[in-house]
Amino acid sequence: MANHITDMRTPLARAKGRGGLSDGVEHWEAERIGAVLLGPLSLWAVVQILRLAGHDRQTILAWAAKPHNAAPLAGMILLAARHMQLGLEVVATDYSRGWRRTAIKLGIRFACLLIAAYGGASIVKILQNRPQADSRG
Amino acid sequence: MVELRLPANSTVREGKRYPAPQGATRTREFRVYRWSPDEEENPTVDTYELDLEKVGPMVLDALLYIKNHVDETLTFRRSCREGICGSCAMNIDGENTLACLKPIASMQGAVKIYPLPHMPVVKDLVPNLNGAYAQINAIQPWLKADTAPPPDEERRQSIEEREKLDGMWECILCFCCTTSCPSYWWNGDKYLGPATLLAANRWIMDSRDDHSAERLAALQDPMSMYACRTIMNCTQTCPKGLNPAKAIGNIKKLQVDRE
Repeated sequence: MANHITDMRTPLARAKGRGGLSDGVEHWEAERIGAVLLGPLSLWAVVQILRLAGHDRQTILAWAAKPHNAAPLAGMILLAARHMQLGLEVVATDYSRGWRRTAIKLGIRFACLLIAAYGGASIVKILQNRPQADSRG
Repeated sequence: MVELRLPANSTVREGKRYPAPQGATRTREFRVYRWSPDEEENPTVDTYELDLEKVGPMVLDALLYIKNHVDETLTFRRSCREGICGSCAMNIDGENTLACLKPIASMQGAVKIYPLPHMPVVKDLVPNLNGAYAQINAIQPWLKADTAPPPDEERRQSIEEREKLDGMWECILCFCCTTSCPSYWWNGDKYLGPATLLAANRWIMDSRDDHSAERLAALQDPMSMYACRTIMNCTQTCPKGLNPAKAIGNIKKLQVDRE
């Protein structure tokens, strides 16, 4: 290890650094808006889960295949994945540095994207296989 | 980056013990962090037993008593001894505060005294605050007006406009808040910290300042201010009873209003 001073910048130069990208507001706002929207969506999901508890697979699939159920379900999954990504990115920012931070953030984005895609694909599959005979709402 | 373990040369060891003088009736232990750059040793905690009959009521009185009567090598900053200068900011009994405003009687058991957390130590209870001072400078804490003042008159402010600065101008820059903030511990090189952000808000809110827009724009990156996680240690620890967390909240609100 170097036993001499290696950083001879002034404290002001260090404090200013290279400045930052201007997307802090966006990230912060997206976190909060996501949280607010997830509130009623989660409440709706809990009520529906309690209502559907004990029903057979076909009934639940038929429930999920109705657009007014599939839409909020898809919305919740996508929003939750995005919200999770934003939240975990904050954790990565706090607790990691340098190439580790970049690697962890890449991992977080990839994992959350996969979760969102898997949820979305599942709903598409449910919609494709919905029982045609039942036209009641 | 988060450091969950102290580096080997920062591990604190048990230090010297200075027993109470003969005939002391009301003794109290003061456990004080000691480290000197002149000796290549780990920091220690020295224990001073003092006779409270001879010591003034505040922690600063105890430190002065130690320096004057027990151990003149003990090093700490102090000046006004009445909570105005901010020099004697340190960690007392687990809380960042001013030694001159902290009554000894408000604590139980041994009084533990450490320097402000997570700052480089110059010696004993003296932290190196160069970085924090530079951060204050970086937000340009002075009136920036492009408009000339009225001739033969000061720049005027309504009573309401002046009231907006209350709770901010009182900050004495002791950095108790900044050094109590985990976000500042982890990312203090990029996150400005609550004291500096309180000062930023003070100038953003000043009706006489023409540069609110530039001041807000300078804080919209993910780190300078948005590394604040609303932990609120700052507000809880402020020895002047100020609310830096609220000031940061105000800046965030103004940022969103800019859209």
